[in-house]
Amino acid sequence: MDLRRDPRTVGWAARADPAIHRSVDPEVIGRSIPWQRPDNDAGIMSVIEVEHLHKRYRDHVAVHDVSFTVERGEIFGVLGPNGAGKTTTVECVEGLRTPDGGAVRVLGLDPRRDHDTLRTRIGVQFQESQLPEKMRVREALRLYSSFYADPMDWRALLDDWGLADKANTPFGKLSGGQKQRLFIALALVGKPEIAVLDELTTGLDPQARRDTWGLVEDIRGRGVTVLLVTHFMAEAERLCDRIAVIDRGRVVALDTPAGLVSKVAAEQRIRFRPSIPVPDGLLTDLPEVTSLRQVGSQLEITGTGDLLQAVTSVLARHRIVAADLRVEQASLDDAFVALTGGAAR
Amino acid sequence: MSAQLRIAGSELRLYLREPAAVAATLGLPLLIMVSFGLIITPDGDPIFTYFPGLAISFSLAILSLNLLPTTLAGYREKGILRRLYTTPVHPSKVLIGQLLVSCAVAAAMAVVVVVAGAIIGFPPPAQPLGFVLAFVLGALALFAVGLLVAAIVPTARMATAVGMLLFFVNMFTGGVFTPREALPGFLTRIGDFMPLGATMQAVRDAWDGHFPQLLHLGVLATITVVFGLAAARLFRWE
Repeated sequence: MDLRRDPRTVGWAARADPAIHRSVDPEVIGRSIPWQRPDNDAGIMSVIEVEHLHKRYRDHVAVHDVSFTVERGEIFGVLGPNGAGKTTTVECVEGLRTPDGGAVRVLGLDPRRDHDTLRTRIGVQFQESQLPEKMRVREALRLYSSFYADPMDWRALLDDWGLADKANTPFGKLSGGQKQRLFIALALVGKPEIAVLDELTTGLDPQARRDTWGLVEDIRGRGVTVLLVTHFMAEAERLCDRIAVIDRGRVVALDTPAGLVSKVAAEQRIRFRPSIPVPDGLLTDLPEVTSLRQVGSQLEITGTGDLLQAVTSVLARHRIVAADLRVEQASLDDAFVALTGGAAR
Repeated sequence: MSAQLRIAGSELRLYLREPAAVAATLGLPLLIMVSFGLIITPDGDPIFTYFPGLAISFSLAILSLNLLPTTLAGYREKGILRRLYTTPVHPSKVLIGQLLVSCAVAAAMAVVVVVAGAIIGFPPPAQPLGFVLAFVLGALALFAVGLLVAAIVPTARMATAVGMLLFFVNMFTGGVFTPREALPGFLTRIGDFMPLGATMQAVRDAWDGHFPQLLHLGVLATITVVFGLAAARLFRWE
């Protein structure tokens, strides 16, 4: 009966912060925000600006037209099926590739032209990254920290990311989760303002994946903006403040996870077992309720808007206890499938 | 300490953790000198320069045609070079670090061969300046070939395959498997123009007391410049 026990409810509630919770029209974003100049750096709210990005390889177009902005302190998700152009998009942000069209600004800088400046300020974790098999955890962190003028204390990073007891373990002997934690630590060792994490949890077991999610929230807790590339719905739903859904090289939606879901499926469903029979019309008279059905001992109510709030307050007024209460909402999975025309995994 | 030195130090540590690599590049030359030194009694005959020449050429060939291309192609294949490109340190520093380690191992190997040889009864190189010149040019030419292999093959496996092919062709034509004295004339002629053959012959000449032939030094210098420039132009970080 305690709604907070429902993990989904917790997720939504956590995102109710109005500062983060906003709906952005993908058509407007990127165009309406003027380019910031590097000289008013401190005042920049948008740390990544991608406008009409276009990138093609010899025989095919990887990115048709992608626009989005990422604001400071945000966890921004780039979500899409395999081959949608996600990695190419972030590689243009990282300065690894030159766009064929459109513009990319990162911290007010051009990722290609100002690469030397930018690479001291962003930290990157690649999809399927590796290190030499026999390089030890301690050595990797110490080496990478020596690349930066003002690095984090790599010994503290060992502790922070649960690698202290693996400090002398060679890279080749680490588990998938340990490797991933090491790569996150390496991405953070230069005290970056932006961390780009590409397919962070692919290949991890469910527990390691959940642990890693906690770590990503820690990164944001340190004030680092996170650009997260993923094809896992659950990951984007759990972590991201906003998500750009990319399909076949285009942004098909850009919104909060809740916003994406509500766009696709406004309808929700509540099931519960009332402690006493519910009088006719009590619930069906509510504007939020669209239908009511008796299923065995349970009532199944479908509706829109703030359905749960409306139903529970009426029940409370009539001293009816709703046992085994379950709320079923369209998930991000449903939204994703609807948005990408069923091309999802 | 500069990032370059740290990377070179890291590469050196990784090399020392590969027992097979250390055995092939330092252990085997030592074994060759000691075992042949015990079996035979070197007198003034030039044929005895074959053994230090073999020890040096074999080790240089493993370093340059096997370890260097396989390691660098592996780093690229594993995304290590690409990853570095997003840090303030350019991936070329890993390539230079690998070269520095290869040069250091080669130099250590030369010292081992000369010192072990002297202890076991081989006379030291009779033309020291010529020996140093032949050794340095030979090592550079072979490293340039190894770098070009690393530059053009996409994977570590292919680097190993191409490197091994070059290794055997060079060992065979270069008078390393079999002394040049026992090879037919056309093979020694081919060997004169191969990086390992020219190195082997120049090292043996200097050990015997002659200044190396300009042909061999010229071949090695040309290979260093041409293959080195090609490798620099063609090398891809991803």
